[in-house]
Amino acid sequence: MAIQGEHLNQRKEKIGSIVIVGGGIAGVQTALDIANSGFKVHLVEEKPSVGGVMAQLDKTFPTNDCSSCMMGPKLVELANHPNIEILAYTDVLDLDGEPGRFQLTLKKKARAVDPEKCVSCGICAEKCPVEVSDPFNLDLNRRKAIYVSYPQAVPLVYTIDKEHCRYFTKGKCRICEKLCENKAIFFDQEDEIVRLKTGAVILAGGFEPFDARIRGEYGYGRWPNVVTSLEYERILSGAGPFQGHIQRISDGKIPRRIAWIQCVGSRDNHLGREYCSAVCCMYATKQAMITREHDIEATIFYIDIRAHGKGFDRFYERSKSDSDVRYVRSMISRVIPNPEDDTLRISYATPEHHIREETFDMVVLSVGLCPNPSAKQLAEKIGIQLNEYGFCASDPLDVVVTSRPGVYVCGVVQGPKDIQDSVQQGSSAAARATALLADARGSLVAPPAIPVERNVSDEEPRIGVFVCHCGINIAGVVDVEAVADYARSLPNVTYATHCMFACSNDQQQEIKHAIKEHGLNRVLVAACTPRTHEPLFRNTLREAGLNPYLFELANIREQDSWVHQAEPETATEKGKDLVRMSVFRARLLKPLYETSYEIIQTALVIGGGLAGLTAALSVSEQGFPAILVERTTELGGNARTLYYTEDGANPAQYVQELIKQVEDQSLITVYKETEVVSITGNCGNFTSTLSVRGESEVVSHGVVLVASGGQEYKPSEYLYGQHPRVITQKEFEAMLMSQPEEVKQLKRVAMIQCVGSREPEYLYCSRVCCTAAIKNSLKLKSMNPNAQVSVMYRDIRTYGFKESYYLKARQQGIRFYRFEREEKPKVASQGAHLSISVFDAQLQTPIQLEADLLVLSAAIRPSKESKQLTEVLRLPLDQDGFFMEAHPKLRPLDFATAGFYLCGLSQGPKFANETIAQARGAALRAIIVLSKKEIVAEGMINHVDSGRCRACGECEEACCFEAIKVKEVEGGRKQAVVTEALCTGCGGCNVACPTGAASLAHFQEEQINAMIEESI
Amino acid sequence: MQLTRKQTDSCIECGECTGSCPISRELSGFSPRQIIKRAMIEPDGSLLHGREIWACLSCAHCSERCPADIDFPEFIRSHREEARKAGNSPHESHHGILQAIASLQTRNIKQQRTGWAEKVGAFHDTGEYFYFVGCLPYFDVTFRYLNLFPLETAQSVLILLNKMGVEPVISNHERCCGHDALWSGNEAVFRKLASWNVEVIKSSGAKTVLFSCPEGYFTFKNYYRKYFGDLPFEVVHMTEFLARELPGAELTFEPSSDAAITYHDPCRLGRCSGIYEPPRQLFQFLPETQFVEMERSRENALCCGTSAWMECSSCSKAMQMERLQEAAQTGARTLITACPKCQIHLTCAQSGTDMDLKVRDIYTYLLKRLSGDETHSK
Repeated sequence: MAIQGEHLNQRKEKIGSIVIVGGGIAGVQTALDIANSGFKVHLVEEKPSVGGVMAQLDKTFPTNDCSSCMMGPKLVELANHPNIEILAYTDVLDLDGEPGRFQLTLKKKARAVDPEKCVSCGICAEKCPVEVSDPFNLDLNRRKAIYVSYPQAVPLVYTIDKEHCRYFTKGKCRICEKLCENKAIFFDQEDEIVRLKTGAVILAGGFEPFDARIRGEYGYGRWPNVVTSLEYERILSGAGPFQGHIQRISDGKIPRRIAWIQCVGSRDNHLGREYCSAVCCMYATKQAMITREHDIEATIFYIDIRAHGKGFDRFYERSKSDSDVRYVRSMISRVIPNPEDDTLRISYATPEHHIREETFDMVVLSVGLCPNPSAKQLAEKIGIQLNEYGFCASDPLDVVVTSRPGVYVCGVVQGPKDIQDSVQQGSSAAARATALLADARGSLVAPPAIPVERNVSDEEPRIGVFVCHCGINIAGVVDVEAVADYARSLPNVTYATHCMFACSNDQQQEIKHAIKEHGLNRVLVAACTPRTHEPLFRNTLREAGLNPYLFELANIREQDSWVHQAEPETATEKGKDLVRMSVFRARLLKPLYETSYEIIQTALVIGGGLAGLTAALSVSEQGFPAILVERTTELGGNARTLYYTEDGANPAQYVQELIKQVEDQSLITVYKETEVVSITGNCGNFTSTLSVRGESEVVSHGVVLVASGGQEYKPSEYLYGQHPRVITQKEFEAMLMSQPEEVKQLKRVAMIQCVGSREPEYLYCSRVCCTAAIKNSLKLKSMNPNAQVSVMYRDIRTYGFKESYYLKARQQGIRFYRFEREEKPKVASQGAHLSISVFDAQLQTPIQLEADLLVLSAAIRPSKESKQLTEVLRLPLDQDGFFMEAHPKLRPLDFATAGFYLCGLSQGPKFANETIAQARGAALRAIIVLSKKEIVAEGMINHVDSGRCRACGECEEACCFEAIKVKEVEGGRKQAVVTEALCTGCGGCNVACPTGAASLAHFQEEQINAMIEESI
Repeated sequence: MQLTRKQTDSCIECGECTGSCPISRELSGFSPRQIIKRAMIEPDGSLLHGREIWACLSCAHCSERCPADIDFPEFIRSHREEARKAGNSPHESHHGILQAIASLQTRNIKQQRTGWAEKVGAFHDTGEYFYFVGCLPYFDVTFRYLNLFPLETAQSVLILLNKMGVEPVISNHERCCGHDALWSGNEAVFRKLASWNVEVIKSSGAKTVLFSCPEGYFTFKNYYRKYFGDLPFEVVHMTEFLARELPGAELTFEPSSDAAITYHDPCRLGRCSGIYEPPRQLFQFLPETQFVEMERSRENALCCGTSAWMECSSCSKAMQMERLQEAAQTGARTLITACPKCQIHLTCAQSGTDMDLKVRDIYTYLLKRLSGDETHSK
């Protein structure tokens, strides 16, 4: 190492590897993105395995998708990635050096188990005589003193808990050592100090939940049925201590009524934690909805419901209308136990100003997010500034940038946020770090090793069937054991079994093992949807030496257990039917071969606002050309009139500098007054036609980044456009900047929130308006301290650190009046002034306000261009007209169609710094494609049987991708010909073809017919 | 001095105060959350004219919990002066005699405040320590009907101090600390009383002032400082002093036949001053004594039901009964407190019931358990 070090010193080369500290979802996403774009990754995790808090969650909001199932594929990819080294159970001690050339000192803690030898057979844990409480399950059940945190853990290596191990505490036992066949137990193993060279460091240390004991009045730790929200996640989880059956801790009985208390350890100045933890309202809503499925009453006590993310408000409304979750706007002073039956009494203030007392069987405390102490300690050690609450301080606009060059940050260690924002920020940090090291791309990565494929063409089908429990998602309804037994009786089924999570890393090893041991040549997994999980299993087959197209997935979750919850017996029968259909199809599966083709390493960026500019610059920083298309005459978009943020940044100035950088960057070609009129091709190889000031121009590119932006809604309500003193929040911001003299004359300013947001037809929160109103009110107060400001609101949603500005606004005497959607303020013109009456929902009385200016916090709408683009690009919009990502948690920056990415306001309302982070993240997702020279084309494409083709052209008409065309072939005959790289395998031409000449590989008629026959 | 508008403005309307408030439980419609909001909208409105302003016990349950750190008791206190000016006065209990005694003390009257001490111990006119006796001599003559002798508290303190080698100043010129005047909107009375006291203590040359009464301690520590700046003496509560000095004082305590004991935290000592540990430390000196906590203790302790000798009502009685029952539920037979008013209120509530808790003052109880003490056993 020393010699290599000197060598590097002389040449001043950057090191093509990146260290990520923290193996939660943010760290995992960052690691995958970096490793997939051509860099070596070391993922350091202090705990024995990665996965973080997300691995402990049952489901995730706002889709109520199973958390383990979403994380599973990512963990599998992580564990098997040739360019990722996982250093679990390892602490970071120090960091030296400079950006591009750091040296990191690590301590690999001794597990007392040799990870090379441990095959995680579990015999040691089975026979270990010491039982201790299990921290992964928040001490709700027991584990042994030699353990893996959870069965799907990565890396799957046992660790001895030295604090409890009988040998380490009393000097005798050694049972595990005697029983371990692989001689993996190594009591004398010592901590090892390791030094790593790395080009950049990303901190993703996560958080720890607030210690609910600090709020002693809620009785956590004293009354058994008071639990924290994370404990409740484990209670809900099928893989948790109670197998997903909701039960009381005291007596194991099913509770009838459960209460949630919000803001425990958040929004509490009294405890020095004035920030909002940003996720608790939504996780409580999620937990309450799941609880209602068990027919248990759910009540949430809260201050404001903060449903500020995409899809959150609809989720919240659904929890009330469909799930009957009860919400009570009152904080709780204390929880009183009833020792006779361990119930809990709560009293709260009703809207009618009375105190009401209710009894609950369980109370869940929605605990806030606190900085992870070890992450905090590390940041201090390596000179990263912390904010006043102990989170990593970062640049207000470029939130992944810390105070130390070359060290980036993402996830909750930067500030409280949900999984989606953590994942986006992870990709953004990855973009920053890889841009720094762009020259060293590919220098330390190994080409993937693909085993030789077994030729199975002469073999009889030998099918292996794996039926997944999916925690309790499937097994809670369907008798999976019976389905597996049944599968064993079907023709050509050589092997059948059932497993907890088919998608977990250990299970992939099991599948590979079974392929080998039983000579399988077809694999059927009965689990969930191919949309999210097929690539994972196909890869497992590939690694086992089977052609990946010999895989079949039967969806017994979405199509069975989820929709037939009330009829378990029939659901089991249907499960068998689905498996039988798939077995008959699997018998007919044929190997398919993918072709690869060259990638055009250029990105097309649509939209020249903050998102598009950032994305284009990000792509170019990594050495790839970008084409930036802007509809108007000017770059910069909405950010040009964002003059300041609540925390002192200046997006307007930032965007001007960004425009200059973009215009000076030779790799970026800017087209103004330009629109994309058509696009053909597919991921890696697109051809688009642009209309440049009416002139057509054709460009080629490998990926598309959509950043078509959004706009402020022009209200039709509250006399906007009819009275000169009614303006929007953005107009007010411009007024504060450009008309200071007029601002100083203002005496009474009123603001109305949620104008055009949170309405039945626009059921979403515009996310930024509460903070904008507060920011502008504070600005007004600083210019004109005597102005009286009244803000009429429905919920104040100043999430995260923004809460401190809300408190500041309150302290500055800005008045807040809460109204209900059904009782909106009424505005009347009174000459040059306005008179507003509002029914204050808290006081339950009407309030009369006079104003010489009324400011409307108008919603954010997607730009008009979005609708037009959706047709040109064939991309989906959500119910509100924003572009829809592939998956809100798993893939928030990608479209479902390969090669398309999204960012900025076109995806949903967000702040400038969130747009920047998202744009960088989306750019990195695109760079993962661009950084490769070749791309593998889909094997599942259309084929034309030349004998049956009449060259009628129906297929050509039907194809949206211009992938099939009637051409002259050998002998002068005309026939439909498929361009393999363009074909997406959608099947449109098959349906159009009158003779059956066109057939889709992998969905051939006999394969489908076999399924249909078996279904009847 | 007054709690500023800005402080109450920071209210986020979460309602935790109302849920915490013992009055809200008993008095339907009383809601600190509403009171703050109303006062913001109409500063001269219903707060100044309604009964709510006097109903607040200033027990600090709400401010202890408030996530926005609003000092609701102080907010109420600061408006009481104005309420009085607007002709809105509180109902004074005990026919106003205790308010009359306090206001008499603002004049240049002749008091007989030290007679009780001459019988039991040594004290001086000047010296290092000043024992601030407070209103105990006046309570002693007022609450005989409850079979209470509040001066026993003062006598016990003096005996304990003497045994520890301290012969404090006890002054015949001392005045009421002004706590009740301050909390019932009589700032002028408070100012006069307070400046008397500061002068009396200064002239004694004392460097440390010891308080057995939590209200005196709290008022000196917070409000004297606010009105008169830094004081030339240290303010120490007797429980703090004893917890610190007893271990080195070679005093021993005797076992007793008493069953378990429990302790009621007075609002002014607990939530308002943060003194929870010292009284509990004192119980550890008592051999073979089982100390049990009530369900609600320390910052959660229930208030004794009235303050500043006003607005005593069925609501107060309900709270007191709740507290007594909570004490009884612990199995303890002796309920100890460190505040003469708590002792008076809880004793009053118990009279006429068939409950038989011994409601004791902490100093008298300690002295009773002191080894070799015959001077004070009754």
